[in-house]
Amino acid sequence: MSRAGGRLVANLADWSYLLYQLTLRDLKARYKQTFLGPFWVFGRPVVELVVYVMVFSVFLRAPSDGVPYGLFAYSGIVLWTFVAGGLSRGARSITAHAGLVSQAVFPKAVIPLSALAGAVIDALLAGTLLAVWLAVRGASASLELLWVVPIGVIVAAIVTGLTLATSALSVFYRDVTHLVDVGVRIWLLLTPVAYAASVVPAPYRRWYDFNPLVALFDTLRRALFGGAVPAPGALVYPVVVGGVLLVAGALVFRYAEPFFAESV
Amino acid sequence: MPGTVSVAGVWKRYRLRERSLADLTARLWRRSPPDPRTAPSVFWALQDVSFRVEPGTALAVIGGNGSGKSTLLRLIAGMMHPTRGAIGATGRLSLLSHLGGGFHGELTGRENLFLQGAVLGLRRRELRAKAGAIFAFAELEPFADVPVKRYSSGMALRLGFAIAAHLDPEILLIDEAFAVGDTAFRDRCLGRILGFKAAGVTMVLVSHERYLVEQLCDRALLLDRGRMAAAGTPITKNGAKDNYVFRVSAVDELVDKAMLQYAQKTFNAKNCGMILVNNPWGESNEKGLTAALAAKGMKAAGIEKFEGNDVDVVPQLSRLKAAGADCLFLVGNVGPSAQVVKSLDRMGWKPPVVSHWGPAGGRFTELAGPSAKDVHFVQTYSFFGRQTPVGDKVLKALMAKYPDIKGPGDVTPAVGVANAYDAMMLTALAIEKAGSTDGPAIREGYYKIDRYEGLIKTYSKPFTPENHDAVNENDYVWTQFIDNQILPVGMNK
Repeated sequence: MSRAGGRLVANLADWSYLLYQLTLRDLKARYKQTFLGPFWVFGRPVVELVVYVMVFSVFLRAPSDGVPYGLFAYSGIVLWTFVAGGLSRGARSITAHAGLVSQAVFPKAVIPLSALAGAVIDALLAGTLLAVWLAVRGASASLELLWVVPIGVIVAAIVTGLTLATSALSVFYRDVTHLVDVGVRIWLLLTPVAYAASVVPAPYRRWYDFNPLVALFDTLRRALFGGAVPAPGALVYPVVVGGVLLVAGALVFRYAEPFFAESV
Repeated sequence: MPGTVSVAGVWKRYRLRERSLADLTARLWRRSPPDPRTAPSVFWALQDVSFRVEPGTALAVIGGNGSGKSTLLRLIAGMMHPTRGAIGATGRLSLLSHLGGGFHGELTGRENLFLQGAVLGLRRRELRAKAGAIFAFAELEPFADVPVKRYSSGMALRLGFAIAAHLDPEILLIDEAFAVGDTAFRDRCLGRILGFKAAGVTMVLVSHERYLVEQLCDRALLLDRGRMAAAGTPITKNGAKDNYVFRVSAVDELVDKAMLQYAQKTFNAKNCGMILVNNPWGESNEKGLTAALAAKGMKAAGIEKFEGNDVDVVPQLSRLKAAGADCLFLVGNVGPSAQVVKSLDRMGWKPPVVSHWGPAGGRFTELAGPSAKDVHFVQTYSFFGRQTPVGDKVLKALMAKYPDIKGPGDVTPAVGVANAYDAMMLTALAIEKAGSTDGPAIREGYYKIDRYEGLIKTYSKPFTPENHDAVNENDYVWTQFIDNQILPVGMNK
């Protein structure tokens, strides 16, 4: 029964096979009847990279903290692939699976989580290209690369919290998906994906740093390109934001879930 | 105990309109929201439904389109939650309904099988073991690896049924799933379902197919516009070949006729208006009253609806007043009826009000104020006033048995007590006539009852094969609520 409530996590463990099946199905369905098939996983970030290099490096000559611009931008794109893909697909996940939601009994959180899992897989595959690139440049495997793990977890917490809330609310108000799309675009511009945070003038920096992704993308670059050692203190703020969003999102979802079947 | 389904006092409300910015701004600016009568915003799909299905038994849910059957199944399945009340279903559930709805067209039959199976809570190992049998049952073995979008609709339905039918449920819910596939496949489905029944699986079945209902089900529940139809007009005229439903209670259809009769006789009413609560009960009485008026060549001055939680019915009543109504027919429970009375007070309008039995629920004086007494409503019995010997006997027996009952005012609700008393005595007589406690014999016994001096009246041939209603419009008494007591009209004078 779906009276999941507080036992959300235990319940989800029981339904891990469904999570796996849903993720697999989305992945398969996304690339079926496409000519390039799975190459789209690389195609999209690479096309984005080419445009970024043109605009930011060639036209605008944006500084990239001493790292070749292409590599700098691509590392951001990989992480952003997860944020943007997760948020936009996650928000419409419940409404896209209306058939399942209205006809079967299972913890509905499996659906947005599978959308996020799909985005994680996309980012990981795009990430293999980054790993190859780093290896070719002769970067040695340093311990600092392990920072990628906590960064990924914190970003996942932020995105998961937001997605639980937006996917649930969009069942009742379809406006939410439009809002998410606009929000993702603005967030991209306010996050150091295509440029280094160091270009932001000092007076604006206080406000700019309210975006929890700033510290996360910054730390990612330091870990990958061996700049200054990442400062754990910088991650306190993103961790708090991630925790709050995760709890808030889960509460919203839990409150709304009983009404999905009749409203979707 | 696994396999038990219990439904207790369940209500389900649907929202009909989408929430939009217009509602929000209306609330912010305190403008009135869209007129609820032109655009009803909520709909009660189920009202106060209760029953219990014991393990291994099968219940058929019957009723017309829109009577709430599918809603009931989806609530039992746990897909939706009741607005009020509680549902318990212990054991593994499987619901056979709009099958194939959850398939993904781009994926193959096999991929969909694994996905659908996962949705229904199966593990990979179980699905692997069953995949062969499922495709064989659906006769889709050659198409297992073809995308479902290339299936015909019949093929998709067959696959859906085959998956659901291989779940080994403890409780099987079936929602008209039998319009599936060709005759041979239907027979196989039916065979599978009979097999479940033989294996002791509890079933709740929604179907229009008489054969299936009779073959499979131990009991039937008749839903009429979201209500259990026991109080509704059709329950005694349910069309069953062996009809076992007998009633000793007022009947909506007859109450409506009686309301008109009373209004004409007592108030010389010529132009009656209706003020009805906006729910299926109000609707059914709108039909009944309209028919009763039409039978006498009359028309309503106006028909107005109000919501059960409205506190101001003045606009509706003003329209009836403007239409020249000289008498009002009121249908609503205690609370809503009280709001009508208060609104009339505010308008300073005092038309005669003839009401269904709604106010009898209690505390009407308290809720409606002093004008409560102006509402005349229908009952089948009152313990006040001159009593028959039977009435005296029952009242004395009640006072002797229950110390809290000190007089006729303490027997609440009087109608319920009277109906139940006569029904029980009539049943005892039927058993006596039958000389047996066998169902069919008792049924014949009811028909043999010749004369019985009861509480509501002296019954003479109360039941015939054509008529299972013992009480009719001639047996109603008209009452008023005075100082929180239901008194026959005229007693206070």
